[in-house]
Amino acid sequence: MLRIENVTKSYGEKKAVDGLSLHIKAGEIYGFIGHNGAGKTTTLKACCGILDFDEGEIFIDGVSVKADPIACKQKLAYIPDNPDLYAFMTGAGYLRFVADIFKIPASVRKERIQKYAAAFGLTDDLGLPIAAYSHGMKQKLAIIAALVHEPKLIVMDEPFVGLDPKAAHTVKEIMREMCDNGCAIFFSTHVLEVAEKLCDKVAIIKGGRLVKEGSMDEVKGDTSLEEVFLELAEE
Amino acid sequence: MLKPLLKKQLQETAAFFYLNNKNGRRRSPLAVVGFAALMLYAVAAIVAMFYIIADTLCVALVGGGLTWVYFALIGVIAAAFACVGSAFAAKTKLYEAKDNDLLLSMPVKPWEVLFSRLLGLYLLTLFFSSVVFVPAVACYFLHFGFAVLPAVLLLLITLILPLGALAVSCLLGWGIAVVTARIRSKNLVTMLFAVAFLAVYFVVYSKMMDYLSYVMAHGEAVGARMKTALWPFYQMGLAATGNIAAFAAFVGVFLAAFALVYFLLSKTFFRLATTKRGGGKVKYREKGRGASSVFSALFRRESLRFFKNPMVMLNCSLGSVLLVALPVLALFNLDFCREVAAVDADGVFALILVLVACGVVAMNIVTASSVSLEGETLWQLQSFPVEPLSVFAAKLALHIAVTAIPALVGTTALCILFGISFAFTALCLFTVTAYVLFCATSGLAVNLKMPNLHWTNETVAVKQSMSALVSMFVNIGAVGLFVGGYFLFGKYLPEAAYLAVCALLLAIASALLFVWLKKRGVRIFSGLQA
Repeated sequence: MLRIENVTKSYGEKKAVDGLSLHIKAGEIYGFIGHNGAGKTTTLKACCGILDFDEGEIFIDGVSVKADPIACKQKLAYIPDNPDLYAFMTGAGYLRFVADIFKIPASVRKERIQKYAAAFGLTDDLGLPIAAYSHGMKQKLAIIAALVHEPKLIVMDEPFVGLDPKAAHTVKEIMREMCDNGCAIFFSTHVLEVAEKLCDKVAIIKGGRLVKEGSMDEVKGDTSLEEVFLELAEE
Repeated sequence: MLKPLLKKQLQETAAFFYLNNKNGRRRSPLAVVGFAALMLYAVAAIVAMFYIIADTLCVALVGGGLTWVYFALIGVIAAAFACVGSAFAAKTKLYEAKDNDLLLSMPVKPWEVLFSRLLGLYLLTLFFSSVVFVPAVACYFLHFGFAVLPAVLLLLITLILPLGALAVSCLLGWGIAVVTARIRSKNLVTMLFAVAFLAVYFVVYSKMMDYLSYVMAHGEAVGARMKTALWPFYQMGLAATGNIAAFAAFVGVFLAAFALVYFLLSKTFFRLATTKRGGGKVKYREKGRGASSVFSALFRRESLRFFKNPMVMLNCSLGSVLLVALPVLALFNLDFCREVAAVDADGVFALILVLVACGVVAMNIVTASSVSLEGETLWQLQSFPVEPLSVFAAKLALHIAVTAIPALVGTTALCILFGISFAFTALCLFTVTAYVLFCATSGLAVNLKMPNLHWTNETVAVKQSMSALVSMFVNIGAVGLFVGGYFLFGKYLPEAAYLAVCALLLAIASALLFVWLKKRGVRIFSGLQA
């Protein structure tokens, strides 16, 4: 579903991502781990066509992000770590806007919004302006908006930040449900316990370079993901 | 603790000059110089305007032995100008600044936060009052010679006068904040405040020449009224002539006014700055709304953002208000309209009318700040499956809708009132429409080249924006070319042909700009990073 091939992105002299290659199949939850400034967000943004990259290629469902970004964006949903949404819209207005952009028929969107808003306990607040939302509420709204068009690939940057335990649990359940239905999820996180329990595969990035990648068992072996990560970070 | 706050405030003010809002990095020394030169040019134009007003008053009043009346009047104009310039900034900077919560969460006393914010506002007020007061002082010394004592006192007056203006702007800003913090339809109230404020400003501005003539003819009577009605300014006027006792009285009154306002603000600052705006919670009730096209969704989004913020609306579309107001003003001067209609010079009047309409249309800068207003939310448009050109189309459509409708209605009404023939009316409408298209496309192109994606509130994205300034210069420059072209080629071309050529050239320029937006603009937009 997502193929990152030898991608390099530099900011001036500094290489934020250096020759990164990853393959994420449909139905996989893929964790992306690294210290602050390792290049996670740059990679995620490049996958979504938000950030141009210098070398390499990224394919989504076989379509190049560089060659046809719109077709790729139609298949994916991106949730940033700090979702700045349109404060001048209401929650319902925002979901309607996103559904219009993704050309979701009225009856379908209604059903999906009802389902996900109820799952996150946000139904009653959809009439409020986003400006009045807390960080967690914005995060929930961004997740609902990402699910409205039932994407084939979900790219999430720190999706659990700001969520209450119930909402975090709901997100994990939805992630698994989506993947069971053939969706692929690529997400970054610093919560290694969550990654360990949730991910089918994991990649560890350091200084823009991939240092370890594989199924969870392959990466952590007999130890914990935390130990592997700390070990690699010290090297 | 005050020192770092003051430093932060000064940095925030100075950042306007040296920080590139496009990427948050420092501008190159050359860019700083270029930016400063442009700002200097804008300031020089305003200073020149006030110098001309001061010159008229100075010769008549000081020459007639009414020096104190001259300075008192200039003081009133400077204070009023500063109030108009900073009242809404007072509201947004004091109560709606994004970092209020951050600063109030730190071990900083609310009065210190307030004091640092007031320093920034004081500098703004000082700027506005100085562009009026300093040319008036210079004019006085040029005409009547330099003297040390008045010069020292006038320098001190220049510094103290903004305190009085600041006190009034803070009270106005505070009043708006108090009302809007408690009600749900705060946009409407802010809008009403702003329109009322502007209406008073424009009434005074339009009557300026009448007022000046009256003051010059009845200087002594005006002075007598000022002694009682505007006592602090009377004292200021006397102080400007070298009267130390009057200077002390002026300083006392202005400082006391500022201290009183500061005390009042410090008592309510914390509560107002932390009051949740937007009223109580309303349970969502689902409405059966159908799906819309991508363009409709994008256009609705642009419109919502535009109409939700009265400050953005007023700053970007003041021309629209004036375009509607112009025929109404003409209606109040029907005799003049009839006189014009009786003269057989349709072509010349049509040219003048187009010039006036375009001059007003030039004030609309909807597209010139539309990219900047995306700010931190830019990631959404970039991650959605929409072509940047569709986003541009929605931005252009909003500019055209906001400007073209009042422009066409206003121009048609003026053509009817001035008895302009149908053929010339049609030409006027074509030219004005082409000019609206030009302003829309050039504004968007300028904003793409000079976006300001890092702002603390939306007003900053519009008001403290290089692109808004440049866009207005471009718009006015096009009107200048229209006038200049007529003086150069008017004798070879009849008015109808000249209007048609202008409309055609504007349409071609708009088309070329659109092609630029389609090719280069799309690439710039895709590469923007908030």
